[in-house]
Amino acid sequence: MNDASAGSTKHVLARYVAWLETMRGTQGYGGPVAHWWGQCLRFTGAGIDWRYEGIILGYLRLWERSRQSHWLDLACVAADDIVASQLPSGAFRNSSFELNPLPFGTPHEAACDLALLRLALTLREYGLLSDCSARYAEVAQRNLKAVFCSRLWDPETGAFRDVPAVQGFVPNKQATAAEAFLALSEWTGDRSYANTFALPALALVLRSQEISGPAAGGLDQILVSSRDGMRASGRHFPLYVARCLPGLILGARIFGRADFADCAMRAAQFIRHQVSPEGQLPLIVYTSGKRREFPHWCAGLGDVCRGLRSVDSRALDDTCLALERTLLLGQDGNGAFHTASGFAAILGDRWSGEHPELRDILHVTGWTDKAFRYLAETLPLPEGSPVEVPDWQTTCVFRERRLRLIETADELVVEQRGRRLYRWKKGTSWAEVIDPILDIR
Amino acid sequence: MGVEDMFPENWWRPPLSMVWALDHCACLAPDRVAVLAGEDLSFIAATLMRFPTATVVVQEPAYFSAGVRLRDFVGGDWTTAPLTVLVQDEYELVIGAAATVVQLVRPLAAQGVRAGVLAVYVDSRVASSSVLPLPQTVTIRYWLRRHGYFPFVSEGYLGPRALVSSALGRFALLRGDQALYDEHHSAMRRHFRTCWPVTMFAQAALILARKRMA
Repeated sequence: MNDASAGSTKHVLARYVAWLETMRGTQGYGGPVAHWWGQCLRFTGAGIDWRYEGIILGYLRLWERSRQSHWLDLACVAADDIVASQLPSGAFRNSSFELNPLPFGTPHEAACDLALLRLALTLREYGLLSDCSARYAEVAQRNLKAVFCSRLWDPETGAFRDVPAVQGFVPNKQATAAEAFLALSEWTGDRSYANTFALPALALVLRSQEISGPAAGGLDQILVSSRDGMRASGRHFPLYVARCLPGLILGARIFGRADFADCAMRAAQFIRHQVSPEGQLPLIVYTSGKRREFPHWCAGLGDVCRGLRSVDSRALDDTCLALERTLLLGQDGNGAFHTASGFAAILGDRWSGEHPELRDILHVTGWTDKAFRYLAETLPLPEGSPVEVPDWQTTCVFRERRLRLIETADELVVEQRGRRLYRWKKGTSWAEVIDPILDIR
Repeated sequence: MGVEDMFPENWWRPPLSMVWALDHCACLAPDRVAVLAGEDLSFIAATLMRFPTATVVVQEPAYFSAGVRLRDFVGGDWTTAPLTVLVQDEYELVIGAAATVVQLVRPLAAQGVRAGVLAVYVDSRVASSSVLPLPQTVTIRYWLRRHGYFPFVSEGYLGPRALVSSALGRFALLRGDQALYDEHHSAMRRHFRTCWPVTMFAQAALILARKRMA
C-alpha cells in the first residue's frame, strides 16, 4: 500500500523522514547500494556521497518553507557528518557510493560541497549559526581546491577528469561541479571560481549534446579525449541528462549564455520524448536509437522531475506528472522509496514481472534522497508529531529464487523459506552475507 | 598525458577482484587485523579503507616511506609494526598479497605466526606474483596447509566465463557496438566470482585459511 494510491500526499514526507533517520549510524547515513554499474551490499557504513546533497538540501528546503528549527538542525547534523569525514587529502571518506569504501568519488564529493555551500549561504543570509556556516564553507572549499582544482582539472580541455590518469569527462559530473563552484564563487565573492572552472565545465556539457539523430538533444555519458579530438561514448542516460539541467540553467543566468539555456531546453525535450505513458524512463538511449529499458529508476526520478522543472517551472505538464506519479507510487509501507523496476532484466534472467527483483525494492539512501529533495519542494509540509516506522516486508526474486525482504527500524534481512541469506543491522558498517548468491558487486 | 598525482591510478580505482576479496575479509568482522606491507601499495590502501585501525606490518617501520601518502589518502588510526609482531601478538586476521605472505611469513614459520585467520590475495596479473609457480592458488593452499593453516574459502575472481564475456565485450566495442558491449559487461560481472576448483583458472583469488588447532 502507498500514499499515492490512497489519493493522499499529506504524510509522504513525514513517513519518509522517519524511515531516513533509521538509516543513521554514528558516522552518518548508511545502507546497501544497488546501481546499474555495480552493487555495494556488503559495505553499509556511512557513505559521504551524493545522498548528502538530497538529504541536506531537502531538510533545508523544509526549513525554508516551514521555519521549524528541527529541519535546520537535521540539515546541520548531516553537514557535520561531511565535515567529520574529511581526510588529510581534502577528500571525503567513503564518498564513492556503489564503489565504497573509497574516497575521491565523483560527482559525489562535488554534490556534498554543493550541499554544504548552499546550507552555508542560507545560514549567512538569515544571520544564523555563523560558526557552522564558516566551517561548512571552509570544508567545501578545501575539497574543491584540493580534489577538483588540483587533481581533476584538465586545463587543456577545460573540464574535470573522472580520475586523474584518464582524459575522460562526464558531463553530469561537470554540471554538479559547476554548481558547486558557482556556490563557492557566491560565498567568497571571488568570480574567478565561476569563470575559471564553472564556465568551461558547462561548456563541455554543451559539447556533449547530440545535434541530430534518434538521440537528438541527449547529452553523451562520457567524452574521452583521443588523437582525433573528443570521442563520445554513444550512450545517453536520461537520469544523468536531467542532472545537468539545473547547472545549465544556473550557468545561463549567471554568465548570460543563451546557448546554455538552449542546450538545457533541447535536453529536457530529449527526456520528455523518452517518457512512456506509464511514467517510465529507459535506462539508456544509444546514439543508434536502440534503447536499454531496464532498470527503470523510481526514487531517482526525483532528480529527473527537479531537472525538468528547473528548465520550465511554470507548470507541470503531463510528462512531469506521469513521472511524479511513478515516484509517489514507489513509496513503500515503511516510508522509503524503492529503487527501480526491472533489475532482473539486465542479467538476462527470465523475469516474469510478477515479483520485483531484490535490488528493485531495496531502499537505498543515495536514491531516496533524490525523491526527498524534489518532494520537499512540492508536497505539503509534514505536520504533527513524528510518525512510527512500521515493519515492512515483501516477496521478491533474485536469480530465479523467490525471497523475502524484511525491513524494520533496526535491521534489513533477506530470507529464503525462513533461512537467512543476508542481514544488515542498521548502524553497522558491514552486512552479513550468509549465502554467496547475494555476494554481488 | 595524465595529470600528475601523488596517488597512483589503482588507489583511485582498485581492481574489482581486490575490492571483492577485501570486502569478504571485512565481513568477517575481526577485531585485531594486520596487513602485510608488500610492493603493491594499492592493496594496503584498499585494506586500510576497510580496517582503519589495522596494524601495517613492515620489515623496517622506520623506512616505510609510503606511510605519509597512505595516511593522506585513507586517514585512519592505523599503526606500523615490525615483522616480529606476528609472533608476539595475537591477530584475528592477517591479510596479505600472495608473494608478500610467502616472503614475510616463511621466515617466521618456525616460531609460529599467531594469526587466527590468514587471508591471502592472489593476483596473477601482478608482476611480483610470478615468484610463485602456476597455478598459484594450488601452491598457496599447499603452502598454507604445510604451515598449519586449513583453507576454508578459495574463491576466484574473473574466472573463465567472465574472461570470455570480457573479451566479447572488448570485441563489441572495437566494432563500435556500445549496446552489445553493455550486454557482455553485465554478463562478465554476473560470472565474476567463481568457486573452487574453477578458482584455479581465475585471474585473481582470495584464500582464507584458519589456524589448525594443535
